This record gives sequence, structure tokens and C-alpha cells, in this order.
Amino acid sequence: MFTFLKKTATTSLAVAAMVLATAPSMGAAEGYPEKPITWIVPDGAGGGLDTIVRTIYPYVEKNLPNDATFVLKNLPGATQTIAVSAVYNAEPDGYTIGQASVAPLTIMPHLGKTSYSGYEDFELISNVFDAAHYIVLPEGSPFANLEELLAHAKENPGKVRVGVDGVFNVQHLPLLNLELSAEVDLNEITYKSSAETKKALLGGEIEAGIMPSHIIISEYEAGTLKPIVDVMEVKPDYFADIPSLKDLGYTPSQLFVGVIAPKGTPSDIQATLAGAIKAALEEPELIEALAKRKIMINYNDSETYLGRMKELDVVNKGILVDLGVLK
Amino acid sequence: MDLFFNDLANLFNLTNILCILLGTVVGMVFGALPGLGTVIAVALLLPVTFTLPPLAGILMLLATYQAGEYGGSISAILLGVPGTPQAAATVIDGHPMAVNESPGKALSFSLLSSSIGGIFGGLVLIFISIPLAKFALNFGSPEYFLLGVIGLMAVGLLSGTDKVKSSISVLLGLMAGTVGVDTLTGVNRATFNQPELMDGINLVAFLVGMFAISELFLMISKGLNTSYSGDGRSLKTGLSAKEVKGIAKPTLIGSLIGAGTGILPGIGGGASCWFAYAVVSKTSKTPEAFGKGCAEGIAAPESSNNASAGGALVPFLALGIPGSAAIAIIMGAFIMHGIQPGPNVFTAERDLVYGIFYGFILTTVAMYLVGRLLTPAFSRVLVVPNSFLVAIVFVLCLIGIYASKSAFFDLWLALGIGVVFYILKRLNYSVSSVIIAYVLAPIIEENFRRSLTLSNGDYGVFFSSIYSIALVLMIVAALGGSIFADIKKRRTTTG
Amino acid sequence: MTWRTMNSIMSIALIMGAIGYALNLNHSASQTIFFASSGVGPTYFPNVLAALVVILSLVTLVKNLRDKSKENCAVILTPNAGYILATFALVVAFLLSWQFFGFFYLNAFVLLTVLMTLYRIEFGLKNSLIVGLITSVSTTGFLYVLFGQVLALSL
Repeated sequence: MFTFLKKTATTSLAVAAMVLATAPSMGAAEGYPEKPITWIVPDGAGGGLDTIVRTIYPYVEKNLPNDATFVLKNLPGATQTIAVSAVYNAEPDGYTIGQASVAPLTIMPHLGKTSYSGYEDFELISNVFDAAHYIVLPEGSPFANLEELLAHAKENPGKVRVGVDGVFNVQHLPLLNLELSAEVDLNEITYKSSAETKKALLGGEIEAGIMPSHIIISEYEAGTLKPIVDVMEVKPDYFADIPSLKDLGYTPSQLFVGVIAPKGTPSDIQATLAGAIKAALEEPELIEALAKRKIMINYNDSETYLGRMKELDVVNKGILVDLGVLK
Repeated sequence: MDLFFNDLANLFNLTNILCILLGTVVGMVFGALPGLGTVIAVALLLPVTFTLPPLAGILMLLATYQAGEYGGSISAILLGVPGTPQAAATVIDGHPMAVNESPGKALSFSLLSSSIGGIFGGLVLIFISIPLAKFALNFGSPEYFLLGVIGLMAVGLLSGTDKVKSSISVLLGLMAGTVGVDTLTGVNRATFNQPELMDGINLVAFLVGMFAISELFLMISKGLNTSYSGDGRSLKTGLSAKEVKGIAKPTLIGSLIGAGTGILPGIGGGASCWFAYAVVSKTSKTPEAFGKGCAEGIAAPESSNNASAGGALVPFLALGIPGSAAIAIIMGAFIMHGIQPGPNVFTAERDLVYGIFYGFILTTVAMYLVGRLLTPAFSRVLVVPNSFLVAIVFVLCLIGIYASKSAFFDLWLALGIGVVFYILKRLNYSVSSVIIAYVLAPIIEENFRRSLTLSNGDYGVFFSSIYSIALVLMIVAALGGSIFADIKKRRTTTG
Repeated sequence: MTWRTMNSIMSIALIMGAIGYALNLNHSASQTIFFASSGVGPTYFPNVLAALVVILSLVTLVKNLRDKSKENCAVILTPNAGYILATFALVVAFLLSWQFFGFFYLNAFVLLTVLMTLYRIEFGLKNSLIVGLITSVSTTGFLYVLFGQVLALSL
């Protein structure tokens, strides 16, 4: 019964907040937040992104005024689009935010698999971290670098097998783009996860694979796997000497994960949230915790975040058009 | 030996022991609650481990994982509702034994064989993890496909009296397994425009609907204010030496099969329990006893799912490849502590790795002791009248489904599946065949198609390694054997 | 209803289900542009499976219709059928209320109390209501501690 009373109290507060929100939104941030803020996580409990958000959120709480608290809601599935759709359908009152990677915002909408039409349907609060994905060769591979791999592929169309962890995603699209711009034909082999790609690569089933940087550190040190090129724009410091696609003159892709809110969330609340995220990401304790896990913190303010999203959206849309998937 | 004793001294401290006990209890309870299962238990304890020393934290999660594998069998045996997918095979013999003979005994068989399987997995881990991990890499997509086919052939051994209905059950399971976005092409397959179906039919919802909800309806029919066993006579948990000896062979076979499939990432306990059940029932001296409450039928799947837990750690530690969802979460604990599983972990984190090895054995011991302690209490569940069980288990099932993905869609799906399977069960369709086919469908189909993409369409890929040839020969031999047996049977019945 | 009727209905339902599955599969596949990878496409296996279900269900249907044995023509007896239907209806109401109004714990409490009272009604309303209330309070309390406090799930 006690929970019932508590819930009724929060509901009446929610109604009050909604009434307030319909009034001109000047000073909406005053007294914000008055109740727990729901943070939608597009990953199952215990998953990679879930544990990152769980590491970060206490520090964001700390940097928000009025004893703010977050309630995390896990909505995994369908390349994060279930979670992003939930943000899209939420009230723009500042009490729902969501974590999102780039795929549900710049790829899935073009494939017609979402209820929203793209990143324009959201307020982009700030970017939190970036990830790097590498083209990786196994030990004993005859190729020393990307040029050799591509040269061999040019002579043997369809023979070089490259593993990716899904189709039309952040690994597959850059690979297809590379094939288009280098005019080669690779045999893309799809696996269910990067762990499967890794197993196939170590087992000699494929000639190369694309994998996130943090899962190959141990193999890189032992010499069993050799990353040759970063397909994303940002490089982690432990692989600083390895070139990126951009260094080699190809169009790179990007993979960054930030915080979004429903369109129409009052701008001063957005600013409050962005400020708290920025301050959290500057806390030494959090920096250390994330560094241990090889997460590349990359705070971008709303404007930069939006700019990167726009740029990536153009690139991804271009690839899909070139492939004939989109008109 | 010095090093060995050093490791043990590190291992036996109060923090480690308490953590193992906490993990064991949580794992067992969550494993036993239908719908919750090992993955949620491990995910729940993951944040707790951040504040602990690495070894204590990791052992807590491993204890949870290990005990969850046994916990799943508790509800499988008592209610006929597997708490985890890995315990689905245990229902076939465990539940009849609990109802007709003794719930305490059925649980004791399960606990003993689970513990032996766990120890076996631990020994495999300690002694041959590095060579074994390298060996597992020889199994590529073609070999996985063939293994899946062998698994599907095991269904033939489970089939009931009506062969056509059993075949339909297998097909329904395979169809259910193909729902969702196709991994290889991104095509939506039979998703009916539901985003919740894009990742396939949620295993938890499917399992709970099929086993739990339909079983609850059946329980209502059996009488609401009666209980399975009215007196305390059948609650004894002791096993005689003869009974223990009787399950020696199936436990050994189950352990071997469990460890063997456990080292193959992506196959794991969900399939290994069926492999073990099929092999043991085929090689048993009393094959006709299976399905009616036979101890061997409990020992085989139970030893195999615990052995596969140890086996699954092999590719994870040695190669950094998590083979199951629970292991992927445990990997999170390693990474949180800044430890990268992979080839260097044996040298860079030597103390920790050996601590984990010996600690893993300790988690099995803890599982056995806690299990012994709780078994009498658990077996009392069957004294509780159905009215309490049905109401409470129904709510637990629903919350268990919701807890994994917060999707109401899954709840409705499970309810629908429950109603359909209630009717199918009453019409003698085989539920076990559906679940094993569902688990194997993606292994078979994806690896078949991926193999052909790898070879640019050449079917020779299925005969390209000694392992694949050996598997093909096994399939041919099994097929030939069953056809031969069929002919023989027909001759004896007609002549 | 007899077993024979029920078997026929199920066979027809399975045939219709398989056809629906195949139609949806081929419809959504035709709308997506994908790469013709070498070998077997994404709709090949599912179509084979659906076709086999249709064929085998037809076999079952014919077999069943020809089976006029006493057992098959017997009426299906379901003890406590009313309780099963009532349970199903209550769970549907519970899910609807939870989905559209929230308040999981309140809903769970009501569901448990009603189910328990109903199931034990033969012991008299007062007795069953009291037992029902005690069971629901303790179960809901356990759920609240486990899911609300320990797991911090928002239900």
C-alpha cells in the first residue's frame, strides 16, 4: 500500500509538471528536477552499454541540482530502436532522456525500420564517448597493411573474406564504403557478435574481421591478432600508431554514443543536463573508472554533437544510396 | 607445489568464502524462479562486484552461474517448469520421479550429478584449458552446422507415440527459431511489423509460456486444494550406495558432453543437456524407463549443464570469447577491474587466474553444501496445495518475463503461447521437441548459410576438415543405425 | 467437444498459422533490398518449414478424421475448466491494468487475492479471503523487496 501512496504522489507531481510545461517554458529549469528522471538504456541489464551508463549516472546525479535521481530503464533490442522509439514517444518535460549510439539515429531510419524519421526528431543533449573499430588480421596473415589486403582483393574478387557483426550497421557500412571507394569486391561474412568474429578470425575461417578496439588488446599484445586500420575517426591512445581510414585517404565512419531527449524538451533543462554530464565527465574518479574499461570519453556539447550526427547521416545515407538500398 | 599452496592461501579468506556463499544462494533461488534465470542473477550481482577485490567479485559471479545451473532443475523437477533453458531436459524424468516416487530423491540425484559435472568442468578448466581452447577453434561454421543437425537428430529419440505430431512439433520449434531479423541479410522474417520480434521470439517468454503457463493450467485441472504429495514420507533426500552407483555412467557421459559442448562458444548448456539426454537414453540398459522418472534421465542433463559452465570458461579465459550471455556479463566484471581475458591473462594475471580455477571448484562444493541444506525445504513445495502454487508461480512468471526486457509485448506473447501449448500438450504434441528445435534452429540455419557464403556456394565446405568429415560420418552412422533398428523391430513384430 | 473435433481444429489452426507465417515472411522479404549472397537466401528454410507443417498437419487432419475409435470420439473432459477460464480472464485483466495504468504491486496484490479467494472458495468466503490476503501481502512484499529495492526495477 505504501508504494501505491508514493506512486500517487509522484503522479500528481507529474500532472503538475505537465501543466507547468504547457505554460511558456521560461524558467522551466527552476526547481528541476522535482522527481526522478528516467534514463532509457538501449541494452539489457549487465550488457556493455548498460554497465557504462550505470558507471556514469551517479556522477551526473551528483552534478545536478535539487538532489536529482535517475531511474534506469533497460529497453534492449532491434539495434537500439526500441529504446530510441521510447524516447521519441516520451513527454518532452525533461524527465525522460535516453542513451543512443549512431545506428538507430543515422542508419535504421533510412532503412524504414523506425517510427521516427531520424536524428532531427530528437534533442541531442551531449555526446559522452566514442568507440574505435579496427580491421584486424590474424597471426601469420600474408598481408602487412590495408594496401596489401586491398591489392590482393583486387586481383581476387570475392575471395577475401571479412567478418562483420551484422548487416547495415556501424561495421558493415564503412566496409561497404571502403569496397566502393577502393573498387574491390570483398566477401563479407556476417556473424552475430564481435565475439563470434574473433573466434572465426582465430580459427582461420576468414582472412580479416572488423572488431571494436577494446576486445583485441590482449591478442594484440600477444601477437595473435593484428589491427591494421581504424575505420572510425577517433583513435584510442593504446593504438595510436595504427593509421585510420582518414589517414589513408578514405572516408572514415564514426561511432559515438551520447544522451538524447524528446524533441521540445525545454532548452534550459537541456542546458542543465548537458552541464551536469560535462561536469561528471571531468570527475577524476569517473575518468579513472572509464579508462580502466578502455572507454574513450569524448564530451561534445549539443552543437558539436549535432554537427557530427549531421555529417555522419550524410555519409551513411550516401553509402545506402550508392548501394541501391535507398533512392 | 609451492605455488599451489600459495594459491589456496589466497583463496581461503573470509571475503571469498562469503562471496561464494552469497552468489550460490542468489544463483540457486534465481535459477529456481521460472523466467528469472542465471543471466538476471549474474546481472543483478554485477554492480556489487565493483566494490569487491577482483577475485572475490569474480568468484561470486561464477558461484551464481554455477548454482543457477542447478537451481533451474529445482522447479523443473518439482513443478515441471524449467527455471532455466538449460534445465528443460531435466523435466522429462525429474518431474515424474518427484510426483510418483519422491521429490527429495529427484532433487538429490540432480544435486549430486550437478556437483560432479561442476567438478569435472573445473578440472577440465584447470588442466587442459589452453590446448582445449585451441582445439575448439577448429570448429568453424560448417562444423557448427553439423553439430546442430546431430542435436536435431536427438529429438527423434525423445519423440512420443505419434511420429507425425512429433515432427510437427520440431517444425514449429524451428519456425519459431527463424523469427526475427535475419543475421546474414538483415531481412525481417515473420516479425509482423513488431519491433519486439526483430531480435526473435524472446527465449524467456517462449520458455515460460510453453512450460510454465501451460503447466499451471494443467495443475488447475488436477485439483486446486490437493497437493502433489500429501504426506512427508517422500521428502527424504538420502540416496543409497546402489542408487549413486546407478547414475555413475550417465553422470560421466553427461559431464564429458557438457564440457565438450561448453568449450564451443554459442552452443552451451541449452543444447548440451539434450545431447547428453539423448546419448544416455540411447546407450542405457533400460531405455524404456526414460520419460517415466528414471534417475539416469536426471543425471545426464544435470551433469552436462554444470560441466558446460566450466567448459564455457575455457574459451572465455584463454581466448577472450564469451560463449553465453551469462559469461558475457561475467566478462564485464573482468573489464571493470581492468583485466583483459585473452592469451595474456595466464601470464599477466597468473594469481588471479589460478585463484579462479581453484575457486571454481570451491563454488561447486558450496553449491553442493547449500543444495543439501535447502533440498528438504525445496521438496516441501510439493506439499503446498496447488491453489497457492498456481497463484504465486503465475505472478512470478509474469514478473520474470518483464524483468528481462521491460516489454509488455513479451507478456502477451507468453500468455498466448501458454494457451496454445496447453492445448497442444493435451493433444499429445511434444513440447520438448519444440524447445530443442527452437534452440538449434539458428545454429543450424545460420551456420549452414554462412558456410556456403564462406565457400562461395561450394558444398564441399562440409567435407573440408577432418572434424567435419567425422561429424558427417557420425550423422550417417546414427541414421543407418536407427533405420536398421527400425527394420529389425518391424521384422520381430510382424514375424 | 470431442477429441476428434479438437484435433481437427488444431490441425486447421496450424495450417493457417503456417500460411500466415509464410505470407508475412515473403511479404517483408520482398520489400527489402538485400544482397544475393551465394547459396541459400533468407526465406528458403522458413518456406520449407512452413510447407512441411502444412503437409504434415493435413496428414494429421486426414488421419484424425478417419479415426472413429471410441477414445477419439469421446468428449474432452477438463476438470475445473471454469477455474482455468477464470484464471486466464483475471490474468488478462491484470496485464491490461498493469500495462495501461501501471501500479504493478497494487495489481499483483489484487490478482493474488482474487485468485486465492477464488481457488479456496470451498473453505468458505471468509476463510479463503483471509488466507488470500495473507498470501498476497507476503508475496507482494517479497516481490517489492526483491524487484523494487534490491534489483531497483521500475515496474
